[in-house]
Amino acid sequence: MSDPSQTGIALAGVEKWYRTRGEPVHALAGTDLDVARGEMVVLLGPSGCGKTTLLRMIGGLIEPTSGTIHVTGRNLWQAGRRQDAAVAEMGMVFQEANLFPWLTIAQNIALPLELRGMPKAERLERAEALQQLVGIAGFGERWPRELSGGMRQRAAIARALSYDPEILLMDEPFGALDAMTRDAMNLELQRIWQATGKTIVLVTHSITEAVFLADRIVLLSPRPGRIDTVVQVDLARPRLLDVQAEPYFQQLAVKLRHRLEEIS
Amino acid sequence: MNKPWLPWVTTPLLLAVFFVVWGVYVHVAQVNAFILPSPMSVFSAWADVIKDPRAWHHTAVTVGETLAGFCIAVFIGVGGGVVLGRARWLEATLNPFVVGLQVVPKVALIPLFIVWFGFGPTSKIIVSAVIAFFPILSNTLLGVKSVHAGHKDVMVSLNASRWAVFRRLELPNALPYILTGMEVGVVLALIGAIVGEFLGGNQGLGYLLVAKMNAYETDMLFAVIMHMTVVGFIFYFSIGFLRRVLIPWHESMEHR
Repeated sequence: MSDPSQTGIALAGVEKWYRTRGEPVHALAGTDLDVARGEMVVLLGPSGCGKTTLLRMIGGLIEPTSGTIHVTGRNLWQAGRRQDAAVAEMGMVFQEANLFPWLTIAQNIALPLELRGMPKAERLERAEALQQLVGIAGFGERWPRELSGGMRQRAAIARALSYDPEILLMDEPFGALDAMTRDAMNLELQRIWQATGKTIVLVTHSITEAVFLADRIVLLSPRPGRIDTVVQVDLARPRLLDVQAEPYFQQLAVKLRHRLEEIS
Repeated sequence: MNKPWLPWVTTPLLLAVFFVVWGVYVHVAQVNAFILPSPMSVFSAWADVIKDPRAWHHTAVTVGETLAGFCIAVFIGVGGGVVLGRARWLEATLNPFVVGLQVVPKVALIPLFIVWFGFGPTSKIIVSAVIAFFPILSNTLLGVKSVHAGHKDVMVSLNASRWAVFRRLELPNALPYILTGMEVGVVLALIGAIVGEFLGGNQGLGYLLVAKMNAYETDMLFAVIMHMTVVGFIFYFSIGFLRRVLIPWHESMEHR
């Protein structure tokens, strides 16, 4: 394992058992994974492979049964206590935008700043800039219900970026969107990633999305969830949607699809 | 619905039809005015009620009792709902008693309250509060408990404190539920005050109603009922107004 202080995220022997009413379920077998600072890593796998569990453990929403997680050099769980300083290095985006319906778009984006006690004028100014960044300028005064699914998800990304975390964790962020919006959001995410230089870990079950976005794809197999293969994606940036027509892209996608069928 | 003006036309129209049918029936069937007075005589009796300062005193008494009882019910109902919603063990412990309290026919307690608190307004305020309390409590409880799991995840990923989760998530989430409870509760509070006045004391619209019944003035009886109905409407729509001010973000406020 490399020096954890130099990596964005370092997982060592991370394992998860769920204790349900019946037998304990082995959600994730011992997992080692290093994510470099500024890297875009995609966790790909069939349902039940533990990819969401893994992401939620990195984000500190679930405690691992065993193993250690280091986030920008900080140990996430110390003596069973979650280290808030490590959590503050990460922003999370979920499959649903999860905006609060009683806050306007600008207030939603600024919510993390409000919780940190930033003065109102300052945080609304920051929300304005973030709307610009994610492409929803001028929608700050609207209620979430007045926006389309894609725009709500943009606002959720802006909220996660608001406190300038080192790392962005995204759990099937575009899974609920239609195919065209999804393509547009993939392009947007690449742009935002290049503009901000964040470390991104993204969960998806779409092979195309994985190959299009990732520097590295981590393929997980189910029952119990474990890392099957790790694939480097050598495509130049910025990638355009047409990259999907390139032989390299297609060969990689086919290879991943075959492997997914074998392990599912 | 894309015709927001529709009820403004149909409501007066249907009311007019109702009163015309009533008037025609009374006239054609030669109904005794003691059993069912004509709408005209009811309206003129209502005009007398409106002109009578004593009637306004009775109105003020009932409104005052209702408001006082309602405010107590909101205070205890919202407070209790929030506490029970956050402490599940306490809810499990107290649930049988809360249900028991709801099942007791609360109007049956009125004689007891009169024994304890006398014939003055206090006993009516208590009746009013006791009747209005339950829907506010149960709706608040439901609201605090029905927080979307995804919203909780957001707060956890933001290191939010317990207080911040309450202030920024649970309370606003419960607000539409609380207002629904208040909408039901305010009407029940009025009923509580009126029924309380039936049984004891010498003021309030409930007392006025009983007095008119004992005097065999059926048209006045109808007039007082109408008067009470208007008061009830004003209470009900005040909560609707509060809804517009407090939760403009809610789905129920769409297309308004």
